[in-house]
This record gives sequence, C-alpha cells and structure tokens, in this order.
Amino acid sequence: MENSSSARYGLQGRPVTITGLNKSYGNLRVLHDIHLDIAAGEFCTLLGASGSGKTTMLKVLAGFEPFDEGRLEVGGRDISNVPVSKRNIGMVFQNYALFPHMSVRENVSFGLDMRKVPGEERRKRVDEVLELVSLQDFADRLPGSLSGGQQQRVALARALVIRPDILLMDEPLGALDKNLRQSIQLQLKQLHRELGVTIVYVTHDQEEALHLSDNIVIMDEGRIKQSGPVRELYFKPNSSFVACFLGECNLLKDTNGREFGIRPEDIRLRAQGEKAAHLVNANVETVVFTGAASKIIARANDTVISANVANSAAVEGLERGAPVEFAFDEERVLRFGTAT
Amino acid sequence: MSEKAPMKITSNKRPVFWAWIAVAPLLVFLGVLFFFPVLSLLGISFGEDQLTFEHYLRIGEVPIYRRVLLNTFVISALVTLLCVIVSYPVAYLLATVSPKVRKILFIVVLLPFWTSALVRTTAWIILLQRKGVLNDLLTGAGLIDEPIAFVYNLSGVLIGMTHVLMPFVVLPLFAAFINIDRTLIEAAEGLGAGPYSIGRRVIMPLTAPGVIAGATIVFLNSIGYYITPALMGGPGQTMIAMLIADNINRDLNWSLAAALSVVLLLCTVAIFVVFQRVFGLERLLTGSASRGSTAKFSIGNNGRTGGGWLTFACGVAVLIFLIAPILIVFPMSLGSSPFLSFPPESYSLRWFHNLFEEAKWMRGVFNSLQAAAVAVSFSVVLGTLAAIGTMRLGRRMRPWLETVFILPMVIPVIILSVGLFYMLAPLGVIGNPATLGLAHSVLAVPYVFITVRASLVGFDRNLELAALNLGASWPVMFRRIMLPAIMPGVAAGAVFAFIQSFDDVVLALFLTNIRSRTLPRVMFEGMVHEIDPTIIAASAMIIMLTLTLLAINLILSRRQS
Repeated sequence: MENSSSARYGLQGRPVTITGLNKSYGNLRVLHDIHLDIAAGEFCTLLGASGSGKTTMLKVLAGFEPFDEGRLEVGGRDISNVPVSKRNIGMVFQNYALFPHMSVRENVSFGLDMRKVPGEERRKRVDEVLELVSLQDFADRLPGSLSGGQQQRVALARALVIRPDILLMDEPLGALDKNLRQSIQLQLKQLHRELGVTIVYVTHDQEEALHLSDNIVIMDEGRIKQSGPVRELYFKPNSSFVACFLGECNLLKDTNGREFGIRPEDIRLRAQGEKAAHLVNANVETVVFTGAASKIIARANDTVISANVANSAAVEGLERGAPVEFAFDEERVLRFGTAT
Repeated sequence: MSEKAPMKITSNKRPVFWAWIAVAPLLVFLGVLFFFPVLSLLGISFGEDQLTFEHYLRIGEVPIYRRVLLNTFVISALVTLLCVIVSYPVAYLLATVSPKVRKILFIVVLLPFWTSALVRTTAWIILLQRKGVLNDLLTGAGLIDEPIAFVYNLSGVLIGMTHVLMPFVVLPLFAAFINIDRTLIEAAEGLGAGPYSIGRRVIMPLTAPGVIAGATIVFLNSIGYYITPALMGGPGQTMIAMLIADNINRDLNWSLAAALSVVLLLCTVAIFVVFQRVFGLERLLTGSASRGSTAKFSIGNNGRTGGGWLTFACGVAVLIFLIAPILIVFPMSLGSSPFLSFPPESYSLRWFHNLFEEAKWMRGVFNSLQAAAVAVSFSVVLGTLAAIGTMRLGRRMRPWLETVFILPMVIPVIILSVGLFYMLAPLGVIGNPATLGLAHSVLAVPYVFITVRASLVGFDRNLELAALNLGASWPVMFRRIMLPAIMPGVAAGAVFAFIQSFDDVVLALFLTNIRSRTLPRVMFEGMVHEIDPTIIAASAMIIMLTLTLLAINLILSRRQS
C-alpha cells in the first residue's frame, strides 16, 4: 500500500549530481563552480534573491541554457550533451506556459504524443493524472477559461504524466494569492510524499522553502552559500548571510569582537535574578503586537535587537525608551565559520 | 573519482546557427532582387562605359530637370501639410465617438487605405473631370456656369495624393489621441484652461510625435510617387519618378534615369535615417500601436464645445472625402451608357460583361493572379522565416536586419523597377508573370515580416521551451505550437502581400509586355487615353475583392483574441 501511487503512476525519483558547473554570459559569471548532490525522491529547493543564479541553474538542468563547464548526471546518466527533448525532465513554468489553443486534455497528452504512447494507454494515463490533480471535470476546457490555481495544476499534471526522472518547478506559486498558495503548498507536499518524485524547486520565498523542502540550497551571486537539510540550515547556518536569509536573525558581537547570531524567538526578557550565558541591556524602540506573541524592538548602543516574547501585561506596558534586559542561552547562539 | 572530474563541453551555439539559416534566404533574395539592382543604378549613373559626372551636372544645369526636382519637393510638402490638417478632425472624431460607431468609421478610413491607388485615382477622375460627377452636380444646381478644372492640374494631384496618403497620419494621430489621459484634460480645465488653451498647450504637444512620424512617412512616399501625378496632374506637375520613367521609355537615356534615381534614393534614405534616429524603427514596425491608458480620451462631461462641434463637422466632411470615391464607383460601373454621367440614366451589367468577355481584361486578371500567387508564396515563406530568425538573434544584430528587411517598403518602387528592368532585360525573362511575381515579393515581404514579427512579440517563449521539454523536436514544436500562435500574423501578411501585388502598376509597366500585362497595367494604359466604363467595372471588382480580403483578415484576427 505504501508504494501504491508511485507504482501506479510509474514514477521513480532519480538522484541528481551536479559537478563543477560554470556558466558565464559574456564577461558576467552567473554560476561559479556549482557542486550539488540531490538524493532520489528528495524535495530540494534552490533559494535565493533574484539574480542569485537559481533560475539559471534550473534552465541549465532542463537544457534550455548551455553551460561552459561541468557535468550533469540524472540517475547516473550524463545528460550534459543530451538535447532538451530527450532529457525526460518535467518542468512547471512560473507562468505555466500552457498551450493556449489546446484543451486541458491535449495539453496533458502532448508529452505522451511526443513519446508515441499508444492511444489507449495514453488516455488512461491522462485520466489518471487529471484525477490526481482533481481536474477530471475540466479535461475539455481551454486553459484560458481556468483559474490560476487550476492552470497551475494542469501544468503540474502535464509535467508528471511523462513520468519524468526529475521534476523542476520555477516559482510555480508566484502568481497565486496567499491563501491559494498555502493550500497548494500542502497539496504539493502530499503529492511529493505519495509519488516519490525528485523535485528541484526554485523560489525566493524563504517561508515557502521551509514549508516544502527536505533540503534547501541557498544561492547568492551564482554561488552556493550553504546546502543541507532544512533544520540544519536553520540551526547551524555557516554564515550571517544564510542566518539572515532563512528566518530572522540578530547579528551581535561578542567580547572578542567576533560576530554571532541569535534568533528573535531565542531571546527572552531576563527574569528577576535569572542567570544566563548572555545578557544584553537595551532600550525599547517599539513593541509590535503580532497576535500569538509580541515583538520587542530595542536598541543596545548602535545595534537594533528584535526579540519575540510571550504576550503579557508587562510587555504591553513597555514605553519607548524603557530599559529592558535580554537573556539568551549559549546553545542557541549561531557561530559562523571564519570564511564569511 | 576520475570519472566525475569536470569535463569541458563546448558552448552550445546551435540556436544562433539556426537563426541565421532562417534569415539567410530572405537576405539572399533581397540581395539579388533588391540591393543589387538598386545599387547597380549607382554605377550606371556615372556612365555606362566610362566614369563621368555629366549626368549629375545635367540635372543641375537643365532648367526643366531643376523644375521637376523643385516640383517634387513642393508637391510633397503641400501634400504632407494637407494630410496633417485634414487628419486632426478625423482623429478627434474617431477618438470621441462611441466604440461601436468608431468601428464603422475605422472601416471608412481603412478601406481606402487598402484599396488600390489606381482604383482610387480612377474614382477621383470620374468625380472631378470636366464632365465629371462634381461638375455635373454643381452646374445642375446652378452654382456655377462653366465646369471647373479640378484635375490635370495641381489641385488634381493634391486631392489624389492626399486621399491616398492621409491614413498614414490619421492612424498614428488617432493612437496619440486615444492615449491622452482624460485626467490631463480635466487637470488643465481645473487650472482654468479654456478649450483653445487645452488644444494648443495640451493636445498639440501630446499628439505632435505621432503627427510628425506620420507626416514623415507621407513625405517619404510622396517624393517617389508615380501613378497619381501621372494620371491626375498636368505637364506642370511632372515629378521625379515620371521623369525617370520618361528617360527610359522615351529617351532611352539610362544614365540620366539612373542619376535621377540616385538623387531620389539619396533623399529617401536621408529622410529614412532621420526618421529612424528620431522615432526609432519600432514606430514603422508597429505602426499605430497604442499603449493602455488609465482614462481614455473623450469629450468632457459638459459635452462638446462650439469648437468641438466644428471639429466634429470637419471630421465628418473629411470622412466623406475619404469614402466618396470608393462609393461612387459602384453606381457608375452599372451605368449603361459609354458616356459617364451621374446618376446614370439607366443601369445594366454591360461593362461587367465586357470585363469578363474581352480577352485583354481576362488575360490581365489571370496574369495578375499568377503574379500574386508567386508573390504571396515567396513573401510569406521568406518573411515568416526571417521574422522567426531575427527574433532569435542578439539585440545588436536585430535592428540592422530589421532595417534591411523593411527597406523595400521605403525605397520608391520606381527605383526598384528601373533597376530590375536593367538587370533582367538582357536575361530575357521580362514578360514572364513569375518574374513580376518575384519582383512583387520584394515589395510584399516587409509587410509579412512586420505582421509575423508582431505576432511573435506576443508569443510566449516559454511555450516553445515547454514543448521541447515535453519531448517535441523543433519542427514538431513549430507545427503544433508556434505556427498556430503566429497564424493570424502570417495570414494578415499574406493578405497584405496579395494586395501589394494585385495593386502594383509601376513594376508591371517595366516588367511585363503586351501579353503578360496585369489588370492594373491594362487599366492604367486605358486611363492615359480616356476612362472606359470597363475600367470602372474593374475598379468595382477590385474594391469588392479588397473588402472580402479585409473581412477575412478581421475575422481571423478576432478569432485569435
């Protein structure tokens, strides 16, 4: 039973290995010596700001963009010189790129037509995948008549039906509104668990990356800053860049002048007579009520510190300029490598 | 580990290679049938045997040549000025009526635009000649005693050319009007501006770029004009294109004709370069493209002012001026008498019978269709390929290629005709309808290039990538994804290519003989003597054909959106 749906859809996630990938546009180097291993069936997110190289990497994987140097392997097969149409990689585009003159069924069926899948099997596979994304009732509609969320699911179905070795997704939720985005995130995660397909997902939204991924690859200026399991990146960032990119982070200096990080949720107001490894005196700038908690923004010398603390009458009563004493523990402190 | 060592792969240059393969056929085609013949005139102009400047010196010295040059510029300037003046009320009218009415009025503007210039000239002569419709009406009403000479003089040339060329100003001007944000007018009103100040200080400056662009195109077209001044002007209105033709047909003076062509060519290219610097190529390519604006231009909340109504009335008058010659052709073609009178005393299909029975007419129609078939197929294939290829080349290369591909639209047809005649006559291929068709392809290919390019701009590149990603080869992707998307552009290009070919007189005058002459040439030669009612029947038929083609094009483009 565990394997039933992945067996039914004939999907088998494959591992990806990227070795020494370099790419330039003229004099502009957009990918710097990228090395990355993605396990079979993993949900891997490339996270970065625009211009970080994440989309370029996706395009290189799909074969849309040539590269200068390096090697790409999917399931142990070197695909560096395989043309786009022979890579068997699924792709969900940011704008979905549904063929406007074809019905939902024709769109989904297109990849199977190209693979010369016989008519009977083709119909069966299209029906199955449409059911998977709950669009069986929309098979004969044109994409233009569907909502954004439905179009997104057609794009997903079209990419999955070819039983791709890996599935690439380029900010697929970017065009949707927030509520819809959250519900589709849940569906996507469930689908990934059921199908076991390897997904390489690109986004600039760190929250989305945290919700969806097994592993996250943080990119900046064409380099991988850090990659690893979600929790490892969150709790053990190797640089202040990663610490601040994934979640919120206060950057402070210790007595030796070395920089370290502490997350707002790990800072508390010092209780009367409490002993803690780290204590910081500060003056309140403002208190922001965020619903479940309150955020105190305070200034210690020329550093701004933000701390998420439980709601209480004392917190509510803090005036601008009032002195507060923050406390946090050594094991919560984020120490960065000397490299950055 | 050694297996995993990074290996060098050569950068993938194939897309650029294929883009050049797509562009190459049109480059070669234009190189042979456009650039070579046009540039070879440059050589001939310095003497066929030895290098001499005498032909250029003669143009400067002989008074009649100087007068023709002066004529050409004066007439072109007057026509340009007239076009601008009469276009303002029309554009205002188009911009301020309801969308439904606007659609109808647009047909009134566009129908003459796409109707053969020869047909329109015919119609004007019927309307304006000594015993023409207008003089009949005026004398009949007792307003004048003696018929007024409207044609075969300056007024004839100005009326005919303004009618032919004015849509080039109306269309960009309308786009400029539509793009004026309504709130700007309200802001000006709020600041205390009256209608006159608004017109002068808000509307004029905002519409100026569109008008200047349109006016430049009119001037560019005017200086090389042939048919209208030849048919509607008198000896005093001889323009440079006619002088070139005369030097070849009558005087057989190739070098002088070539020198005159070079002068005309240089003027045209100079104006074109200025246009390109000031407005950019994009304006020629997209024509009257309009961007969306928040609040559409319309009449104020208080209705039209007095000046508004006056402009409105002028606009209506100009629209009547635009459509009248098209409409007059139909009743006149059904008259039974060989003497033209309006309204005809009795009606019959006599002249249509004549058209379909007399050998020279039917042969003309057949020759025209043959040439058009060649022109449409060549221009559609070459233009479409070139548009696809050009879009794939780098930003630095693209504007150069685009300039090369639309140049045949800019250079006067008379120059191409003379150059092609000189090149092809020794080869013995003159008189073959296919030769004319190929020459027409040169004229038609810019239209196909422009329409296909426009539809490619709207084509999402990701659709192509998606199809390839799903396993389609490039040809399969082209057939199943790209071609359906750009089909309206290709179809529109084909329609315009057909019209270009079917309307041409000038190339046909040089590249056909008595057996292979096309319908427009038969009409033109008839008109030089006297207007035979069969010519009017042919005109009516051409207008109906144009209407049908435009309707098909409209339906196709509507189905797309």
